[in-house]
Amino acid sequence: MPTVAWFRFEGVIAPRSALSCAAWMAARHHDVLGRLPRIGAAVAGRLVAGSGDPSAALALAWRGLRGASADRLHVLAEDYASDLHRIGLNAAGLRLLDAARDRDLVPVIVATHPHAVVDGIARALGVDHVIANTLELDAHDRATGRLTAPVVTGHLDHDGLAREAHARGLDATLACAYGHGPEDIPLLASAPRPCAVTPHPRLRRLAHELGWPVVEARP
Amino acid sequence: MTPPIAASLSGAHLVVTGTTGFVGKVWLSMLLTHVPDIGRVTLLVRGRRDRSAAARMAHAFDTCPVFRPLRDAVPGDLGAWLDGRVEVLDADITRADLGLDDATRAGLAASADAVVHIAGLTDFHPDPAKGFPANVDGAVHMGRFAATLRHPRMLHVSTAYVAGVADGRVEETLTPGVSPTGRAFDPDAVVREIAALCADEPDAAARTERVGARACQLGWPNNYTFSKGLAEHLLAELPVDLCIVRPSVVECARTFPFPGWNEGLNTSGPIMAYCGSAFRALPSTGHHTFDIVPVDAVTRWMTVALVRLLHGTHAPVYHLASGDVNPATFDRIVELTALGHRRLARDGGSFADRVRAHVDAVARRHDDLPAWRPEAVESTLGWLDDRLRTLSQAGALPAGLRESVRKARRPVSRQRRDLGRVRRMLDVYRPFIHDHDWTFVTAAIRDATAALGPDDHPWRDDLRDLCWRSYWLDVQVPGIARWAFPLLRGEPVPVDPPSSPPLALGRHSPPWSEIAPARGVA
Repeated sequence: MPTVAWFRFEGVIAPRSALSCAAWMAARHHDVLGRLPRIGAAVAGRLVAGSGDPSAALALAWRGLRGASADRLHVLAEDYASDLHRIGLNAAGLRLLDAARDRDLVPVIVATHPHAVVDGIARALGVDHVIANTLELDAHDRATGRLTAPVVTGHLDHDGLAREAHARGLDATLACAYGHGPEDIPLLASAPRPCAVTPHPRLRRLAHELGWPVVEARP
Repeated sequence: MTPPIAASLSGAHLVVTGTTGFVGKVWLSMLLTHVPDIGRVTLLVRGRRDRSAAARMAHAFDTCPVFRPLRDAVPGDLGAWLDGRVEVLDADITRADLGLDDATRAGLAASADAVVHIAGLTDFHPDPAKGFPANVDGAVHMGRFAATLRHPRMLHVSTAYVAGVADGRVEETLTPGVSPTGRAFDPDAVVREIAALCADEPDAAARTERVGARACQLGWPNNYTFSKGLAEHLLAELPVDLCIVRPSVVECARTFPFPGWNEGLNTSGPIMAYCGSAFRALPSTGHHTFDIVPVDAVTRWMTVALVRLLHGTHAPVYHLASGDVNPATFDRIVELTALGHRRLARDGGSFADRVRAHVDAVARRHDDLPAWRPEAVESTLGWLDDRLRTLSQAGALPAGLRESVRKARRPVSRQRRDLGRVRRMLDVYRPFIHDHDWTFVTAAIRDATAALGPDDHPWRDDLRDLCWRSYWLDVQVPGIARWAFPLLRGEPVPVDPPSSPPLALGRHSPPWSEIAPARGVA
């Protein structure tokens, strides 16, 4: 059974957080007058994220997209992904992705972004496996403002990772994991071979304490 | 089972009109590309003062992008290849004799297997002095000619909107002599009435309005559907095996000749331009169906219907539409158009385009329109224009100041004129985008297509699998931006470079009158 390599999308592959994505999409909601409070919801999500509750932060941020049609979500997600490509994906993360493949590891992207954003980028990078969020739609194909369960927060623990790997026919016992932010600590702590990529100061401190390797982006 | 398409058309002789138009060109290109051993296609084309019918078609074959697949498929001398299959006659179908001499008509009648009548004037509210000769007289003359064929068969391209005010679910039927209001009427008497009205009324605008009022009495929302509807009723009286195909709103090609191909200004071009303008609310009913059908689906289905006509297994009427199996509402299309404009602006629009793209257009009913709407702005500009005109003529003002006022008035007058055009366009479109909601039943063509053999994949099309989002954003918006928006800006649309020397038809023409009639279809 091939061995998995977990790659956090936010911070390792892409330079933006899911909350930025929510704000970007809310700023393009069809309800022009309602855009400001919707962006406000995403900003509030950022503040809540700072207080350490990622699922509440995501729930608040994606609230701003309530009422958006499936067409709009899809198109904005494509446009956002194309913007990410334009500003450039993280070179260090992409190098690690190639290196993992060279070592016959199977990369799996773990994202708090919606599938609609991540899937196209994953395809372009040749990654077949994505764990990401899905925006819930109502009977009229409009966003309810909620994410469908189970919500991916980045806080994946050992059991969760093992389940995901098993579902994909992959072995997690010798898995590598690449993370960037403090929310990735459970993921990195659960993997036998963790690695911090241009890490957030909190993760950097922990990586030094625990002796995890740190990869820095080249200038 | 639908008979094999290529085998059925192999060796057949068709007399065709309307091949200088959007649908006609795509149909002809598809036919010649996929059925290279067609017997003979006689194109009845009106010559122009500066260009004969043959020269018009030769220029189209040479430079029109719709013929790219044909140019790619024919190695070597395309002119010689076409001369072996295509005959172009200078004709005028508004004349009873089609503008052809007796011997030519007799020769065609002795040889042809069917008439394919695509020609028509597709303006929504044409001057009846132009629209009725093209759409009514032209159809009747072609029908009478078809009746003289050894096998009197005619495929007539109409429009789904002949249903008129009888909206809701529209079946694939024609009840001759019954108007959309459900009342009996005499089509011949109505044609005579319109002809008399056109003769009596010298003012084009006045006769357009008077004929429009008569159309409304009978249940047709405008002169275009009126003329196409009358043509159907008149053709039904003729001794000809008639097959009517009724497309809905024909738009950009999905695959043939290539994704996005469009020609001229069709229904959605002006609507899409409006959605990208300073006005943000399209007067339309959001939940109504905007029944759109890609042109290549129309031409595939036309050919399937034609083959069934040749074999006598056709339905009398085929709706070529999407709304009954895969409806797209105005809400959805307007939103997709707004998203498409956003992409166009992002990929190279002006600053104003980018600003506008961030304020999405929406579908709104007339009674829910914002104050910023064309008629309100036109009225304000009209007031300003009138005041400036008065001021520019005021003798009390110094000459220099009068001249300045005159200069200041010019852009106001231009904007007023442009807005008048937009308002009139919306008035003309109103029955179709606001007042009525049709669901055209397409069971006949779906059954015919489902019964195609495995080798007939080029003719298979099923709009149930059409994703409106990707069609609109990846095909329709770029297609309209490339092929229609230049026309709205008064710019030429791109054409392919001509061959060197330019293609000419008739140089290698077989002596059609001397050769035996094509094999034909029994």
